[in-house]
Amino acid sequence: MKNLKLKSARAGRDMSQQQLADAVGVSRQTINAIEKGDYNPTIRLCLAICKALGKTLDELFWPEEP
Amino acid sequence: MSMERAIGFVVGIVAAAVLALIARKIVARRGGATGEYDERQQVVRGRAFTLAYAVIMVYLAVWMVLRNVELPFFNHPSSVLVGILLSVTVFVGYSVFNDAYFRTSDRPGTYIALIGAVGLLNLILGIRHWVRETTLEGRLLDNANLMVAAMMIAVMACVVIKLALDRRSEAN
Repeated sequence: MKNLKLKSARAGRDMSQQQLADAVGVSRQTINAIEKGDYNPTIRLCLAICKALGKTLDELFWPEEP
Repeated sequence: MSMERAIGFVVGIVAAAVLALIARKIVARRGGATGEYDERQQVVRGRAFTLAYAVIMVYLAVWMVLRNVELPFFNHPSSVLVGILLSVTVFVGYSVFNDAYFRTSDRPGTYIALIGAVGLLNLILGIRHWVRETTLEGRLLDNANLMVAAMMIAVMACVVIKLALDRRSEAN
């Protein structure tokens, strides 16, 4: 499942995938895989992404109610 | 194993270790190889290792069966090396195509140059061996350098194709 909330939060901060990747210490491809839903990050990486984007875990990673 | 071969074997391992250390220093000095693989890359590399392990297990199972059929290739010691090289190629290929071969700080260009240099060295030694030998068995089966060169070419092809695919997707 694609993580559109992460993608829009990143775009809202005017950050590229590479910039976010550098900020949290992973490769650009890893950020791309998370946004595409191809990879489920660990809680540690989720927290690092939340801190970098100034969002909470719920705002970025909690699935929306159907 | 004769004493001469045993000494050659030990010298070869030591030389490979020294060359690997030098290569690591060069890569580190040119701005990379100090970082670690990120968590997704570690998962992918674990999968690549499992796949490579399965490849060598299947190869050895086939090898054991065909060895009893008495096919010339499978009764030659080089046939085991082919299995190892195949397994290594699968590991590297899977890692490369899933963006888990290079660390974030690595420069793929440096690796291509290193792989190319080792491949070329083996290719030259392999061709030299081919020219010196007179039988097809001697030229092909006793020619470990040529086999390693083939693996290096396959690995380099994987890296170059992946880089081209990445460039194309970035352009789109």
